[in-house]
Amino acid sequence: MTQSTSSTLPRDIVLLIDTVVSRTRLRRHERADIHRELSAHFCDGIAAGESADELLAKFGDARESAKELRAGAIAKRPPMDRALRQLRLAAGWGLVASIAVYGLAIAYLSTQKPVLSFDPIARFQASLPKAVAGEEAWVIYKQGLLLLADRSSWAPDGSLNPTGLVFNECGGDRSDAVCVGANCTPAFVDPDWERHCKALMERAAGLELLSLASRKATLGCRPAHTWEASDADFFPLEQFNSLSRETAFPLLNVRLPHILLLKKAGRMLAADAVFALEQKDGGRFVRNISAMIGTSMHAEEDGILVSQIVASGIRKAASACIVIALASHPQTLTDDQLNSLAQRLREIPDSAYQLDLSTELLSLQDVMQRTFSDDGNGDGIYNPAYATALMATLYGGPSAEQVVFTPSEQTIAVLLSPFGAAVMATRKETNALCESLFSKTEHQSTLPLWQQTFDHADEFEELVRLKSLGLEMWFIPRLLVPAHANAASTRRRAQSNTHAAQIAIALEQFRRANAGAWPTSLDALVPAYLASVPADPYTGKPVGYAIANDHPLVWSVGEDKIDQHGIAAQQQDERAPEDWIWITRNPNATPSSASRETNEEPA
Amino acid sequence: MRAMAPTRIPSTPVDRELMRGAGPTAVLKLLERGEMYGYELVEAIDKRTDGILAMGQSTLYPLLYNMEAKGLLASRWSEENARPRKYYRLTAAGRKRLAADSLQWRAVAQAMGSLGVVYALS
Repeated sequence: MTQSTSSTLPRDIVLLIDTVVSRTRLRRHERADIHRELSAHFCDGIAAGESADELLAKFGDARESAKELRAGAIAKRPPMDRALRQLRLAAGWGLVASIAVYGLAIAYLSTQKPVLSFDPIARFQASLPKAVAGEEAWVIYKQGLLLLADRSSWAPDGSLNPTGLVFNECGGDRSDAVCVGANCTPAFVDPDWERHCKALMERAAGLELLSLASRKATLGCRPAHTWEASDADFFPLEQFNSLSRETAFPLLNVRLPHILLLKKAGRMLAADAVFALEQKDGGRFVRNISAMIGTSMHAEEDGILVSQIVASGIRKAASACIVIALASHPQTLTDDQLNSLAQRLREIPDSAYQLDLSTELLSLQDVMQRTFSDDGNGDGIYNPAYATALMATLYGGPSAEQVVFTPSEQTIAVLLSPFGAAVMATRKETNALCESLFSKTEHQSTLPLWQQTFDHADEFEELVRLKSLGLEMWFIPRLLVPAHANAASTRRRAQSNTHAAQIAIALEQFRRANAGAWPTSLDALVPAYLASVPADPYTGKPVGYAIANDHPLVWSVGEDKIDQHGIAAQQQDERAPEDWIWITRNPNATPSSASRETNEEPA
Repeated sequence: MRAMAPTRIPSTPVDRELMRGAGPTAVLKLLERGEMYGYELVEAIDKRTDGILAMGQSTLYPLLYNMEAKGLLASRWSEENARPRKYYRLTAAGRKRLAADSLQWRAVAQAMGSLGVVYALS
């Protein structure tokens, strides 16, 4: 109908109607209705004798007309329809405004760049013990390790293989070379034990160098994110140095290959200590144990968390070796050697069981100074655009360089920057949280296990739960802090291993002084052989003691705090919690706890 | 004092703002006697007001749409004639509104007459 009506109209009028209707930008049926009505109107005008020009002149401005018609047609729509339109309009404008604000925020954040206010590597290295000339152990360790390493560590042309030094032959790469077996006789359960013993015997000079190094005052190794060319025959430098990122997070990228080597040195010393027992060489046993303790002190010298954990592991293995020795070869050690071991254990400072998170905090603060802006007063806002390198460092694994962020990913990070700034805690808040958590965790490590009430992980989880965007708010701490969750208890727990070794020595000393009789209680060891009876780490009460099958049995009630009188779970119910057996000589009595405790890898 | 002689009213279209108030009342008044279509309304307003309240389509149709939206008018398409036409008629609300507007215009005219702006209505 519309078509037929408008087809009778002059072309100019049809054009005008089409233009006006088109400009109304109304819905299809609304436009059709207006088109039809205007066409009818002009047809009536023509029929009434008016000329096209007259009608066009009377019509008025097409743009203004379209605007008025649109307003009128919209007014005719149902109220709900109009309300929805208003809503859409408001939403549209809101979106436009949001995009504009977001764009401005991106522009603003691009001006809020991180400011590097300190050199973390310099600060870290300044915290290391001052090296005394001639008292640096690292050079001697290296010489000893080179002697102990397998020949396969080097290519035929003499260059170090990419895997670095290998210690398979001496048992340094075996976590179970020592301290394995329910009956505390590790040598018999390692199929390669004889091969290890042979290699250890042939390379005794290397072990002597390790022992010599362990007596030095300081390690004298300054970890960095790159290693010196002089270490090329020692570390696969190409591998380490190619991974370093001068511009990313240098402290996170500090390489600690020496810690791994000290850990392996500890294993070989432990293996040789057990071998010495078999050869009834008490002097070498004591020398190796003493060397392990010295090595552990060197390992944690840099204050890095992983170094402290490795150090605890080496000391734990040393204590386990003493317990094993006195359980299986007590006659090998002379009275003087027992005194010497007891003295060496007493020399371990309490700080060796405490946690030092200062380097970890420094590392976090370095991350903050590189991902937050700096207002000059220690505060700032987080910007994801600067955190992509951090993600690469943390998630890139051993070859962080493989995680390369493409320009589009960087663009996404920039686009996310206002979101990150809005959601993330400020630099001051993040720093305060980390300082608080670290301080509490460090304090916990100064307390016995039974007095440790602060749970680092729970506290952090609670913080995250308090806010709906908690996970995002504490993004940086969430990435880096959880690793510290159990560190305080791990460090303090290692003291119990020392206590076990001290009790084992004291029991043997008592037995020798009393014609082979064991004391009826541990109190009998005080003060002649022990300063005091060590407390059960989980209750604070004296540890359990009994004579089982004519042999002493010493135990802690374990984490469940239920005293099962040193009876292992397997003998009752596999699901039942177990006591933590410290000392036993009866292989059938403790097939589990003691061996598991002593089985644990140094780290 | 000699009585003021009546002045001839010039036939010029009224101001847009004034038209905004007068237009709807004029349309309501014209539709009081029966339904009319758009062109018919334009012509009627032009002739009956001597062109003073004349309005083009760009004014009339949006005005009709608005009044229809307010429920003062109702419309229907008629196919009875050679050309389809959309007829508008008063609703009950429109009649009520016309009555109210008429009273107000009368009051305005009287007030203006009192002031000598227009001749007082008899």
